Amino acid sequence: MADNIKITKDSFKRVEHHDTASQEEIQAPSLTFFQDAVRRLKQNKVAVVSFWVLLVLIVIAMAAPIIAPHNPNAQNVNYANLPPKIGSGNIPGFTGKASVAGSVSDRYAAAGVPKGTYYILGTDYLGRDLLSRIIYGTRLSIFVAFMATLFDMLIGVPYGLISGWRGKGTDMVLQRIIEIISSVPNLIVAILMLLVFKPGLTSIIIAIGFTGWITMARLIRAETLQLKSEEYILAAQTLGESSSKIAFKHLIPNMSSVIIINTMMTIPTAIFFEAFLSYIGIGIPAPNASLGTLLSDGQKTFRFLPYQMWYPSAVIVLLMLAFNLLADGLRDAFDPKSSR
Amino acid sequence: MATNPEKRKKIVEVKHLKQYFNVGRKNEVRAIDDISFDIYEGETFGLVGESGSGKSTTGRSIIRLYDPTDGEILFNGRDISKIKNHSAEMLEFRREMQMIFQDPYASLNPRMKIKDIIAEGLDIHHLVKNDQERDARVEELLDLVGLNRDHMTRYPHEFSGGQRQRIGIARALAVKPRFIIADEPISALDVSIQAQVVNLLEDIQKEQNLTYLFIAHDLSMVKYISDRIAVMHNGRLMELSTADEVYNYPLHPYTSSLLSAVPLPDPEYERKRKAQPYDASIEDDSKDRYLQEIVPGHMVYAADEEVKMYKERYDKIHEKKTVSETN
Repeated sequence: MADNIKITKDSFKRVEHHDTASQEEIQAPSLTFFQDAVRRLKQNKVAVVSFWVLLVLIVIAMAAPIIAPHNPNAQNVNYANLPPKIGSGNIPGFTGKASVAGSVSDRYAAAGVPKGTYYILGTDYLGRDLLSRIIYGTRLSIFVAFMATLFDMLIGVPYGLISGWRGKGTDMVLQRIIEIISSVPNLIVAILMLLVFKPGLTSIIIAIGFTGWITMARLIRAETLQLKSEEYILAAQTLGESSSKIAFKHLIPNMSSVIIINTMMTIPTAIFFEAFLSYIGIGIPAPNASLGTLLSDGQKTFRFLPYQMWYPSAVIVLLMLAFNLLADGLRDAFDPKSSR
Repeated sequence: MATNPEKRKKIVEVKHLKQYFNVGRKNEVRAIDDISFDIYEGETFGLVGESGSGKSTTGRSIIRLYDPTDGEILFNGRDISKIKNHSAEMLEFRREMQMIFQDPYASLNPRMKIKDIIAEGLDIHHLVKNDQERDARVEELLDLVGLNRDHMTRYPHEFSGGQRQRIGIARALAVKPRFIIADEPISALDVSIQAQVVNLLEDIQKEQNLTYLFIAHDLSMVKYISDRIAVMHNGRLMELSTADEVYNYPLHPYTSSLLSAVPLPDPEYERKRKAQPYDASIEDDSKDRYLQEIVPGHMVYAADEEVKMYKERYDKIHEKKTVSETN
């Protein structure tokens, strides 16, 4: 058998000799850090749902003047405390009927509301449309969230960067200032603001602006201290890069995850702070709607007209949950090492 | 080495450099304690020593990442500690002197494309006029260090240690420096890659007439690449001479100790090799020690009384070598 097999030179075929260039080629698609994070975020269903919920809420809030069916501050005492009703009242729960003194009756007919006029989520004790008030209240909350983000970015980030980068005396002074500010409770700042300004959005935003950025500044400082001694920062210095360029080209991109995650954590805190102040009556003044004032109004009639509190609470719960869950998802996506 | 070192131009002169940290506090560290040496144009000056001996600090002081506590560092005859930050002179200094870092995984910004990492220096010093020129220069540099052109748009995490170190070298070369400090450029690399990188450094040196300060703790590698070697210990220079002299005629006990720790791929030799520990307490006799020339071009950290002893030691080793060679 063995003799039959003849191995000649032709039996072998030379494998195509690859040059080093093709060997060193990287086949995988090039993903930026951000693309990679988005890919991980998409795998997290809860975060994706939260993202869409937030997007819808934000769009509604932005388009409030167009979407809101009624003027949120227009009073009509005749139409007070009407239950929810949609269209001609065929949908269960939105029939416009409510039980008064043991018997169910059509409140719309009793109040003499003309046919075709209805309030989807009912009206409050002054006859104002609850849905419109909730939409405007959400708008206010989103605005507060936006301002809190702005303070985080414009004060917190630069403050932390300067403190960490300059170090020594500068760091000492800046950190003592932070400690003094953070030793004053938020609520006291808000109440003191009432002495200077009229109660309202301005004083709430100033109170947030006074203290809200501190966590961000501390985190950014810690991150800067850590990144400062990285060799690529030293390399940039030996190349003669200026400090501001190092901050924008090297430091901030490498802390983007910290910045994004912390912003998402600050937002719910700020929204809650505003709602809380409005709830206890030192926030948004009377005619204007805020989720906090809606809750405090609804609470007064909760035993008889529970919908006046259920709907605003549902919205604030949705808002807080969506922000918190998205923040969790972002943390996992941007910083896969931490958590779990 | 062929030319007389005295006649060559000095590119860096370090004079009585001291670098202390936390001065005046309890945890004061004397990282560098009065060292002096010169580096001549076109040579490779090796700096060896154990961990914590102040090698990297010396490199970082020379490139002015630290401000020296005392002493002078002259680069091209200019005192670098007198250059003002943000001045045109500073920018010029930053262009002429560059550094290659130890850890290839930490020395590249993970959020930047290779193209932008290499071109960082080009942008800072406005060495290119437009994007095409910038890309062309980056491609040229990638070719020089033996990387693919299509690596330009990739991110650092997609490369191996050796490739990253080559990217770091390309970044340093981008600004056409005259003097490069290589701070343990190969110690984080696999042995098989070390030779690649060292040979690359040598080729580039010949091509562009560069001067290197090569910092390492691996004496055999330093001997291979360096023209002259300085041995450092506890922030002081122990011995300074040409690479062959230090390797063949180690006079200071610390140098012999360091050499005795170098393993060789020879089982016969390894069986007999005995590491000689160095006892630093012999320096504690409060004698005034400084670098003294024992034979021309060979300096040893010694007290005045010890010079004679070192001279005798040199002759003894010399005699032994010639005997073994004639046999």
